[in-house]
Amino acid sequence: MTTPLDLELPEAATIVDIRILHPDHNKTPVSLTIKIVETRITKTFDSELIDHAKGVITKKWKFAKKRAVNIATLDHTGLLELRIASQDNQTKYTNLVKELLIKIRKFIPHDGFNMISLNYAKSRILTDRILLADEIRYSNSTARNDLGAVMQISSSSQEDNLSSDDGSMAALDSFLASDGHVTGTNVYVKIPDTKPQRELHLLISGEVNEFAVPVACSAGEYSYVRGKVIALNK
Amino acid sequence: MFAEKLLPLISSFPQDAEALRRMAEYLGDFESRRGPAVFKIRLNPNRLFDIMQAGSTSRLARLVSILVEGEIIRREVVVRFPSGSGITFESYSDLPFLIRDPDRDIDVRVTEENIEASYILVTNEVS
Repeated sequence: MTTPLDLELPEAATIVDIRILHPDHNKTPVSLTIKIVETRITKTFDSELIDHAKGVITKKWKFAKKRAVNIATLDHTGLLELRIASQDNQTKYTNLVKELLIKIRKFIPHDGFNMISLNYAKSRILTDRILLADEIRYSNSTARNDLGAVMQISSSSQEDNLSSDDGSMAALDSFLASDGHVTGTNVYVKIPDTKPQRELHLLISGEVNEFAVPVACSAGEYSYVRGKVIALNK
Repeated sequence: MFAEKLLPLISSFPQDAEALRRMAEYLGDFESRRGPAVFKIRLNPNRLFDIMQAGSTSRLARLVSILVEGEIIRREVVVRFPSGSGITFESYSDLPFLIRDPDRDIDVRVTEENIEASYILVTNEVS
């Protein structure tokens, strides 16, 4: 595309920009980025009407249209990252990921890709918590063992740090030591050199290769958190 | 015992032999360490993905299909509540519209947000 499309609320998800970052023409391009804009509907509860005669309650929601931007980036190492705009009232992104893959298939056939499980990063965030104390604050964690038992540990409030609670952490360590696996980590990543300390909420849960940064942040901050997740997964 | 049950499948599906061998190793290791607890194994798709290093959802679907048809595992559907506990159903068609969350003693609507597939070993079945 020579000129990006300027679409506010398209009727269907539309590719508005495709960019190849190729600063040195003697080398392989650094990345290919495809930007897709879609219109989402967000519902807010408005009122309910009770019809006593019929025994019926009718609930009414108002809806608003919202612009959502999704981005697919293929870098020179072959890593394909799909960044989906966060949803207001759903936590599952499977269908949105499928739709995005279909949308970009013409430019990036996805048959040859393997999903990268973030399981190691999820576990390492917890097992290396002493080393990561200056970088991460712990909110809650979910683990499951191979017999299907589920363990959830949450800090007393969003402001507290679960890793300073020795008893809770010992319980989790014990669970993990006996065929337990971390299924979800909910932490705050401390952005370096910020005063007051800026923290970005990071969730690693859902699909094996899924993580979420459910907070407005700059491109640099997102890049820092993304880099942290990738580094922890090695 | 379970590792041996997988041997014919490993031979029959050479394209997926490596992943099936990983599953056999996992079951053999679990059984050698924890004995009869192996009968109570319950794995979700993400865990199966990691054990077999499936690589993609389409390959995982194929591997699960091989294991189900080979009568190694059987799928159940769990409605998961916020506390972490859940109620198990034989299939998606058995799911009710509303379900009682026993931990909070309230009715909960069954949606894709609170259901998950779960796989148990076929020998777990009550005879």
